[in-house]
Amino acid sequence: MSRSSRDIGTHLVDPETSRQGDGAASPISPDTIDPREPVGSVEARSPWRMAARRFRKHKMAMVSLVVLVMVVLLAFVGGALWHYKYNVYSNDLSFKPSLKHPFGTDSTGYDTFSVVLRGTQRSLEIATFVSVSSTIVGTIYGAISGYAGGVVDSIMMRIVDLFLTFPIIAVAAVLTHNIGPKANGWFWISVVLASLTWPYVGRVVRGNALAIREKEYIEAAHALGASRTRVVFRHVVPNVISVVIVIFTILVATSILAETALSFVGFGVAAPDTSLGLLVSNAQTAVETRPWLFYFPGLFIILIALTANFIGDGLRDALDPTASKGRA
Amino acid sequence: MLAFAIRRVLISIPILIVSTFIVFLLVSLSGDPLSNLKTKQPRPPEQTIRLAEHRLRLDQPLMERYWHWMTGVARGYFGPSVSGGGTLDIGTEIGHRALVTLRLVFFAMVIAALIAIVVGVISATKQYSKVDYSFTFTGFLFLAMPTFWFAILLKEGAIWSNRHLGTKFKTIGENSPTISPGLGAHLFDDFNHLILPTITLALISYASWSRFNRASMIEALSSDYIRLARAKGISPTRVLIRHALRTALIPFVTVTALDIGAILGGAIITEYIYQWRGMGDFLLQDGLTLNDPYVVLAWLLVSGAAIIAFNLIADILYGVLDPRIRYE
Repeated sequence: MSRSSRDIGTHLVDPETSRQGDGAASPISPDTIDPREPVGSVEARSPWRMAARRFRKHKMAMVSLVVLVMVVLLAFVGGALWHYKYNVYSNDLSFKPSLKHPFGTDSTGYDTFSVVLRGTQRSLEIATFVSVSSTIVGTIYGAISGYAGGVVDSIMMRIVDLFLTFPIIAVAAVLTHNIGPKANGWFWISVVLASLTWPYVGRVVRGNALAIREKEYIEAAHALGASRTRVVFRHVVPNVISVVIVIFTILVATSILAETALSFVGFGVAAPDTSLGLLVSNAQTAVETRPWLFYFPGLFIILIALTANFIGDGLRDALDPTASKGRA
Repeated sequence: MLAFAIRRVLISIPILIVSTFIVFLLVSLSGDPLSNLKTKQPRPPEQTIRLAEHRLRLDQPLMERYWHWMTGVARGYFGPSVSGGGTLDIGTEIGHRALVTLRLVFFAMVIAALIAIVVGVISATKQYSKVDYSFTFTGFLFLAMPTFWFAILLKEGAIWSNRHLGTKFKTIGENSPTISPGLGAHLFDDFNHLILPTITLALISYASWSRFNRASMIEALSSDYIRLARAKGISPTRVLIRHALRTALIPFVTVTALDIGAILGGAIITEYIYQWRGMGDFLLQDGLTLNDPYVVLAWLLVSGAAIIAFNLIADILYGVLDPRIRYE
């Protein structure tokens, strides 16, 4: 999505992602077993703990995680505590950023800080809804398609191809141009964006599921009489989860960029509701006179998308150590 | 190879046809094109509304409308338009607009690909150096950059520079309304208008490609044939360009071609900011704001066909460039 609408396609076919590592699944390497250490500490290193350790070593990812958590807290808690409200104007018209109004005020006297926090809330809600729902749908779809193989797989993948035939931003604009100002408009915008982004998840998960279906433990599950549903949900899905987590974080970035772009061109979130894209759109004529109105909502978009991408990068290294460092 | 190409083309045709039907369904269900007319005060006579409905084929069943639309398109007639009382010939207009957008997309893709190749090669050869880290960070920054925000920033920067430094950047439109006659003046004017939007779209798009190219360069550089080439005493530059880069560019070409959908999405936003009368404006303004269903349909048809064609080119190029790929 831009990248706003720039989509996530390229990320996902990145050779770093497309390789399904079994590193996370095989925690025992020579350096984990140290004869001098008590046995208990070796036992405690589950694959997830190993991943968490590797993630903590990824400096940018850790910094990003902290920053993103702070942004989320600021938006949802800070906005409520701040002494100016986004919907109550003050007598301070067009103030420059100061201690009283850290992000300044607009020409009506609204405190930009509280308005930006309000917009961040809405944009985060949409991004979360979109990435959670499209990850769930895409994962299940991809797992079924890859596991089934054959004709079913071909048909399911042709359906995915259909979705990928159009730029997300264009189809989203077509679908949302009548719902923006209605009540709960943001919810329907999320539904539209989710219904357009899940195929990207589906395609990547399917690629991984194709490889997994040939594994011995799947054969073992079959031999033990497990049903197809059970194999998909208990064996295929858990084994693609590390890939899915990475896609999820990238989707957060993609969907916030898509939503803000859509709102910016006037087919997304509309007044009286607000979002970061709408705030930038409202401020585009004020870049010279009141630049703070333009800069801060944009910086928040970048902050969220940037930290989400770095976290995704860190998670990829952590969950799939064979894929990056040390390979060269 | 030829058989593969032909088969691939034959598969694309049903995909395009099915997607036209879905698109037709979506657009038909997404709103009443005559809502502007019907809510006019005073309400126009029933006769006028019925005539307009008849002209837009709204009095026919859906399947019949679809049939008329498709057979019309096959003859080069893209359906009746709402705006201008139906005087707008959608086919001619979209042809003109597509050329305007193509100019932008073409130059942006070329420049983005060049930046991505250079950045990817430098990053890969100087892996984990300061240069690599700063390129990576810049890449992530552009990956997280909202197109519209960056475009406005660049535009305002150019306006500032025009005013204070005496530069002559063009910030509005795809060409000047009045220019001195002569081919040279025309080309210069077009070029001048292209600069800012092309920079915007190229910078917004290059980041994921450079990440991709870095990864495939690292993979190529660590392979045995590179070690052999170095052992034979071939100069490092030659090894880098002729041996490593050539291999790394094969998947790169495919990825750039597959990204056309995202670029088109970015072009919509870029054109919006620089007020180009291209495809983006045609969809958002003529199609959606003026509620003109056949304009939207024509737009989706043209962009869908372009994306399918690019996917096809990507597939075939992959086979042509990589002799290891065999199609039975």
